[in-house]
Amino acid sequence: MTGISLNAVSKRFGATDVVRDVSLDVAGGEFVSLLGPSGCGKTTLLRMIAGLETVTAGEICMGGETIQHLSPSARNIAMVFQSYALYPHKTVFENVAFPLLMQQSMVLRLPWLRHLVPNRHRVDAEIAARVDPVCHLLGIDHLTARKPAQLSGGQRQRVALARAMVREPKLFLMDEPLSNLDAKLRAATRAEIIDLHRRLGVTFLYVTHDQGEAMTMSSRIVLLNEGRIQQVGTPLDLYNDPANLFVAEFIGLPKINVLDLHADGKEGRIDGIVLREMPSEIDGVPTPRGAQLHVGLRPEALQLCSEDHPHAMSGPVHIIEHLGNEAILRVSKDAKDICIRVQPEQAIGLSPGRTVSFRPAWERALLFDANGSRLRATRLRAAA
Amino acid sequence: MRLRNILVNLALAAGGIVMLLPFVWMLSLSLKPENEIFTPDIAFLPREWDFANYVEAWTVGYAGTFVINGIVVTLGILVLQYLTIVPAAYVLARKRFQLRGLIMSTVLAVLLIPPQVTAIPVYMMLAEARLLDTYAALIIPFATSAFGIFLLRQSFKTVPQDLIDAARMDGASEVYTLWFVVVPQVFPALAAFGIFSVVTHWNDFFWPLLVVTSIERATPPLGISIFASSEGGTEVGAMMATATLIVMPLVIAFLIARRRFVEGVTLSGIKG
Repeated sequence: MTGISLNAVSKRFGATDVVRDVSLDVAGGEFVSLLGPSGCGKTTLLRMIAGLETVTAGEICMGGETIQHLSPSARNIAMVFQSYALYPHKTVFENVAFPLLMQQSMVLRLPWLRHLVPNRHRVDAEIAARVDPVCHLLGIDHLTARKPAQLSGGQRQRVALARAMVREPKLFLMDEPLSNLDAKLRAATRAEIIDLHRRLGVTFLYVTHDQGEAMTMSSRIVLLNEGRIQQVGTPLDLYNDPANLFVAEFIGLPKINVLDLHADGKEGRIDGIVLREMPSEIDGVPTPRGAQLHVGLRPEALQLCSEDHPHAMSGPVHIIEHLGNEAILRVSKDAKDICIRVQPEQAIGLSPGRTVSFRPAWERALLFDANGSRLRATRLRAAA
Repeated sequence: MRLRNILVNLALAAGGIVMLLPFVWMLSLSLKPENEIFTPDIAFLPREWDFANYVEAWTVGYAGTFVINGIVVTLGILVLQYLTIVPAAYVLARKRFQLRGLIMSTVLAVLLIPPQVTAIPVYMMLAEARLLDTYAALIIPFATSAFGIFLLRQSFKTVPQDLIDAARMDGASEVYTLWFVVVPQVFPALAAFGIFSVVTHWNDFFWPLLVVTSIERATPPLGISIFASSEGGTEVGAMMATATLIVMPLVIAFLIARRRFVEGVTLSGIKG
């Protein structure tokens, strides 16, 4: 199994830096998602690995050898495009067979002239012998005579996967392959891609802007913003232990609540509300004094409480989302929208407009400095 | 509503008759024996059907030669045009290079120049190369087309980049990708251009008149004109038969490809 490593890779289009100094090691057989908002450089990064874009600086290695100078097809990498990019004038079979046909001699590639080649039937049979099992595996063997226009979105997606698989590449690149599918199909295809990865055992690099997709599918996530890696880690690492405010806000649905915290000895103020008896330690860090900080509280890190609790904040509920196994309360506080995840029975009897009191569960709070960097115990100790 | 329909249809029919009348007259004359042609009254149907004019046009005249010349010249031009405009349009549509803006402007500027302007220099070049009165003289000056480059460039711009990238990933060379992946996507534009090119050059009179002197190399319109002047305008029946034979290939082609033709006109209306 071949992995891929990026060493300080950068890409510049004119005066804009699209990808800045990205270093990353992906082990063979891993499923790694490149996640980030649109314009963060994730697709450009993928296209550089594919060889469709040149690298401005840095090095891309596969199996220990640098591959920048190789043409896209020589890298033995397959890519599934967001639009699937099936050849509209070719049948499903011809689409899947195309990468194999391109490995043949020049004459055999030409539409009419190939009929002059004597060993054409043998070559065609060899190609069919590789195309058919792949089509069978993906359940498209009854569609091979059709043109892409006659297929549904899900079927087109499978054809695109088949075309990528047929060459038996060492690395699969996928550029938001699920974004053109409807919600139900997306969930099913997600599971199929995970299954496919397990069965093929090769390395997958998967680009998405959907954090839920990245969380459920990948063994590791690379979160990018403005061309820079924000954090690399397992889905739970990113959720529980975000490196900065951007990561904390990008991962998790509903979004994390971010409140301004000004701690001052025993007293603290969150968004101007005075909290008495502040805990001596938040997020494993001794509560710093006099600093302007941000505290990140995931919806489950807020609890309903009585209004006389020393850390109680309050606001009117404006939306109640009953999800069955849990309920999400959206509470207006000043201009902010606070999300609280509660047990379903706690939401019974609440109605929009009722004022509720809630408090942070400090043991689950995340602490960030004014610039949005995470305040970590280790880092503080190292500084001290 | 019905009255309006009737009026509209009448108006269209009147227009149709005005346009078709010369053709009907041509057909009618070509089928009449000589003594029926110059008569004071008008009769569309010949009293006596006579195909001798066609026999004469084909055997004594050069109708067959004209048609063959027409086919050789128009197809020769078309093939060369496809070979030149496809790569040119692709590069202008898809590649970024320094002189692209300038080259594109040049192509647009060439669209504005009538062929008569360059006729004399081109004629002299052909004369220098001793190519006058050959097929080459009829074909080479039209080996490329600014209109074609422009029309096709607009179509190439609509082909998704992903398709080209996918072909690159699959191992297709750039030339292969262009001809066997990209070109099939713009087939309607190519067909539209082909129709315009064939019609234009089949009917072209000006250029053949300049570079062709012998009747053996004459294209259809020039052929009719040479035929007419050499006969002194007396053999009207044979002339009309020649004209009919010459018009036929285009009319038949039009009837076969009527849908495409209309599509082509609409397409060039939007994109050209």
